[in-house]
Amino acid sequence: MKVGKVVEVRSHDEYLCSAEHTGIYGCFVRAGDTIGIVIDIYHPEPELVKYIGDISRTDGELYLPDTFESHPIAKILVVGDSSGYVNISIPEIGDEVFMLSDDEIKRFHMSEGEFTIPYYLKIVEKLERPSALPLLTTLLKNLREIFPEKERFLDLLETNIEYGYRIQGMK
Amino acid sequence: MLHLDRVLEEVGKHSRRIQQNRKVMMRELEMAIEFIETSEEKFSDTGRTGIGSTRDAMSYLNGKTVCGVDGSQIEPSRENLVPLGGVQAVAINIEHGTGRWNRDVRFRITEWNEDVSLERFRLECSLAEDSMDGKRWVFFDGSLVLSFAGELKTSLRDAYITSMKNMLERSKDTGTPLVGVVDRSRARDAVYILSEISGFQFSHLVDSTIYSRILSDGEFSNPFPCRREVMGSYGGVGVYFMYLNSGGEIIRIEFPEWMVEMADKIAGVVYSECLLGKTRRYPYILERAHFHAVIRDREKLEFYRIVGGYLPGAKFSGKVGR
Repeated sequence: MKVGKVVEVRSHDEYLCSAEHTGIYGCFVRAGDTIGIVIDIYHPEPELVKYIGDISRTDGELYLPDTFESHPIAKILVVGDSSGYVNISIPEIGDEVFMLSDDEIKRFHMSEGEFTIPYYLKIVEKLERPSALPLLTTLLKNLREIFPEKERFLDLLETNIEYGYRIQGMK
Repeated sequence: MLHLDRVLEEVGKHSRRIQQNRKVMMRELEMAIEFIETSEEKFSDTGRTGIGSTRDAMSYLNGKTVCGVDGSQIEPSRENLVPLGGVQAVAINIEHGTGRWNRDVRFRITEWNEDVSLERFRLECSLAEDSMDGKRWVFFDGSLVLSFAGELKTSLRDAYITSMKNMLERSKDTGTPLVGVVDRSRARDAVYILSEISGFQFSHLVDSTIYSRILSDGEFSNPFPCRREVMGSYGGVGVYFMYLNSGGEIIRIEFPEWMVEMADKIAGVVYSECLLGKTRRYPYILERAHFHAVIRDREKLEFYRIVGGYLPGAKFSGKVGR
């Protein structure tokens, strides 16, 4: 499924995508050769705010309709590429972004026959505490559906993460 | 770095001349106003739109479809060894009061030997023409009187004027109102007419200075035919101009001759559009056409990267050509 298009590349491991849907937080995506996770999604300030003044929202919709046009922006953390878990490639502006299929997610999480979550530390290090916890929780929920046989391991990991963040204040 | 001490030194040298010019201008302005107020000429006739609020403006525009046309261009880049440029024109169509709108975007690559500004102008005019269906008002960003063309070589001048003429004729043939809007105009057409009828020479005045004294917010001048030399190349297709005070700003409105009896309607539509705009002084539909048409620096870089990728010898250096 197509998610949208790359509109800004902020660094070797972070880019922004103009998204066609909003319910993609915590999903795995690919753009070009890279594999990433949607770590945030938001609406940029619509043009309407520059015009609204004494005009109500309803009048705005009827008389200034083009100012309502806005696509949600998805912030994506690159966690690897087709060559492995360290991303060598970066996406290009204009690249199309697609949701990873369950099979692709499975392949990405298997290394030499072993289940692995190679980006776990990267997320912990990269994201501030308030953002990392819900993201990791969402990711683990998604992984439980794809790897039901790993449910016990994933439950333990989630408990550990929650304990780390809430009790020890771990970053 | 701007060396302010040197700037101030120069300003000091010029200030006396600037002050003198200002005094002459004010004297001329008083003379002009006195003549206008005491003469029987239609110069002093003004109209009122009767539109006082955003709510009035919305009522006035309700059910009307307006179209704004604007464009943008990318010059070939010497720094990036990309010999191709690009021109883009956008028409925004809004049916006020219904929420319906659409955007018509056209883009074409320009070759190294083409004049990018001319190609942009042609694309804008042809898009405006294609938008004329007798059901909407078409707003053009800029003047319909191409005085600058007189200074160009013949082939370029002819190309500019042909595009403009075609657009004006299409407006008449389809009965589609066409208005060109110029803010901060330095035109002197009305000053020449005033000089002619009064016998005084007003060499330091521009039209908008005079009208800023005559017109209150929401008021508009009589329409006058534009008689500049370049109009002789329009093959008999006439253009009229009028001035409107929109939120304290005098804006110049130009339109084809066939609309001359519609001055009240023209002022009503333009003023209402201004009241919906960001600054309340420029038509909303043209602000939005500009917003959708402008190509930003980073997008130009992207163009060079994409086009350069197909050209042998092109080297992307990340610089934007000016």
